[in-house]
Amino acid sequence: MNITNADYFTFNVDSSLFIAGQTGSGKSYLVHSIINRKQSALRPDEIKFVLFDLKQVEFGDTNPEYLLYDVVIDPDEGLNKLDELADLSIERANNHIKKPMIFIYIEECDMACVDQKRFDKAIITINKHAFRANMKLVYSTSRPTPDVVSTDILNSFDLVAAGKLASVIDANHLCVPFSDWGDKYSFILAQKDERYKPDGTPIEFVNVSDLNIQFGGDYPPQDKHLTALLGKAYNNEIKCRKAIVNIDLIKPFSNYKPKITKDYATQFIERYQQNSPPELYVYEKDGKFIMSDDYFAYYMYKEVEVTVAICVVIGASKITEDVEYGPWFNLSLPNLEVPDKK
Amino acid sequence: MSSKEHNLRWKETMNGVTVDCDTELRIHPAKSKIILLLVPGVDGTVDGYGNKYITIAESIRKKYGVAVVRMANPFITSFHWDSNLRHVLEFIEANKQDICDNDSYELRIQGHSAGASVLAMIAHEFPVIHRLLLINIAMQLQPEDIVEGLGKFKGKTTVLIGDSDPSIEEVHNIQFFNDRVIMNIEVARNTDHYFSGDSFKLFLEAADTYLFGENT
Repeated sequence: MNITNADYFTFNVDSSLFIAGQTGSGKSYLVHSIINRKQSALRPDEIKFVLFDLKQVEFGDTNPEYLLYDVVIDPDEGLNKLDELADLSIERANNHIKKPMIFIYIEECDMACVDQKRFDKAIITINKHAFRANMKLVYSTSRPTPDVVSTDILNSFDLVAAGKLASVIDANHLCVPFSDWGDKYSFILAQKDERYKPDGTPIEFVNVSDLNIQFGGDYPPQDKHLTALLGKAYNNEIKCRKAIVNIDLIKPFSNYKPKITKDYATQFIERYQQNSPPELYVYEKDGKFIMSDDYFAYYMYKEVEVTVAICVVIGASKITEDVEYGPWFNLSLPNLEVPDKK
Repeated sequence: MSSKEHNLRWKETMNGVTVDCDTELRIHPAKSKIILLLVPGVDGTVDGYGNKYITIAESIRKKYGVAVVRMANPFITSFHWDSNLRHVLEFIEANKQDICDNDSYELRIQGHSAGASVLAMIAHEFPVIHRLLLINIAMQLQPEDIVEGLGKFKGKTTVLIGDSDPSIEEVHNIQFFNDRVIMNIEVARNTDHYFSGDSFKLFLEAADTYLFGENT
C-alpha cells in the first residue's frame, strides 16, 4: 500500500477508484485535481465527463463541451444515467470503442439510498468493462459503512483511496488499516490484491489505533538497554524469572504501534486459549516493566482486554505488587533448527 | 474565550440503507435570554475558513453577552439536507440550561449558502427562532420550499447577498410571498458567494449588523 495525495496521484493506469474519507479529508480536492489534469491534457473530443454532483456545489462551472450529459443533481435521474452508462460500457467493450474516454464521477451515496441493488449492479457492470471500454469511474463518499457500500461493490474497484476515516469499522470494511495519521490531504492507496486474497476473501486488519497511542513509524525503535540485558542473560551474567504481570504495569518502550493482521490475531487468540500466549521480555525501570521486544503480542494482550500478561523479567526487579514471580533461571540461547541437507 | 466541544451522532435510514451521521458543535455558554446559532454551508466546518465562526462567536458573546453555538454541516445525502440543523436545534432545546442558563430563550440564526436554504425551509417549525440572517442563500436547493418556509416564518428575516452571487436574481424574485414582503434584502457590493477578499470583513460583521445591531 502507498500513501498518495492530489499532487502525485494521476489515476492513469487503473480504471476504477473508490475514495473514502471524512468530510474535510480532501476527497473533492483529489478528484478536482484528477479532473483538471485530464481536462488540461485532453480535448473535448478525446474525453467526456459524467458528473453526478448531488451536493450541487462542486461542478457548476465545468466547461459544457467536456460533458457527456449535464451535471446530474437528481438521484432518480442519476440512476437512469447510470444504467445507460452500464449498457454503454458493455457496448464499448464488446465493440472495442475507445474514444472518447468516458470519465464518471459519483459524489456521495444518494443513488444507493434510492435503490441500492440497481446502483450496485450498474457500478459493478461499469467497473467490470471499464478497462476495455476506456472508461474510468470514481466513486467518492464520506460514509463508507457496510450498510451503504456493499462488499461486492467495493470488490469491483481496482483501487481504494482511504483518507481519514470515521472508525475502525469503516477501515476494516475497506480492507485498509485504520489510522489517524495526520495529513488531511493524504490517502492510503490500496490495490485490489492488497485488499483481497486470491480466493476473493478480504484481507482484514485488526486495528489498534483506538488505543490512543500515536504511530511511531514503520519499525520499532531499538531498545539498546534490552539488547544489553539479553546479552548478559544469555551469558548467564544475570538471571531471569517468568512472571504473571498486571498489564497496567507494562509500559511499551516507544509509541510504535504495529499493524496486526487477522491471521496473527487468530493465532494469538488460539495460543491464548491454549494457555500458552507469547511471553513478553521485559525489564524493570522506575516501577514499570518496560516492553520492547514484541509489540504485536503486547497490543494483542490489550486488544483481548486481559488483565495480566505472561512475561520473562530479565534481571532484578523491585516491583512486588500485582506481579507473581516464578523461580530464577538462566536464559538459554534460542534453539534454531537447521534443516538436514541430506 | 473557551468553548465546549460536543459531537452529535445519529442514523438516517432510507429504503433500507442506513447512513451514520454526525456533526460537531462548539458551545460558547453565557447567561442570556438569547442564543446565536451559526450554520455554515454544505460541508462547512465548525470553525470555518480562517476561523471565521470562532471570530464571530467570540465577538458577539463579548459585545452582547449572549450564548453562541457553532456547528459543522457535513453533507449526508440530498434527501437529508435538514437533518443536521434539526438535530442541532433539538440539542439546543434539550441543553438550554447548560448553554444559556435559562429555561426560555430566543434563537437568532445566521446561515450561509445551503445552510441558509435549509434554515429558510424549516425555521417556521420552531417558534423559538426569532431572527434569521441568510447569507448568500443557495436558491437552487428546492426554491419552492424556501419561499414557502419563509412565507410561514413569523420572525424577522434578512437576506444578505453578494452582487456576484449566482442566486442574486432569484433572491429578488422571492422577496414577496402572497403580496407580503417576507424578507429584508441587503446587497453586498463586489462580493462573491464566499465573501472572498475585502468582503470577508463584511461576513465577520454581518451577525452584529443584522441580528444584533441598533437598527435590527
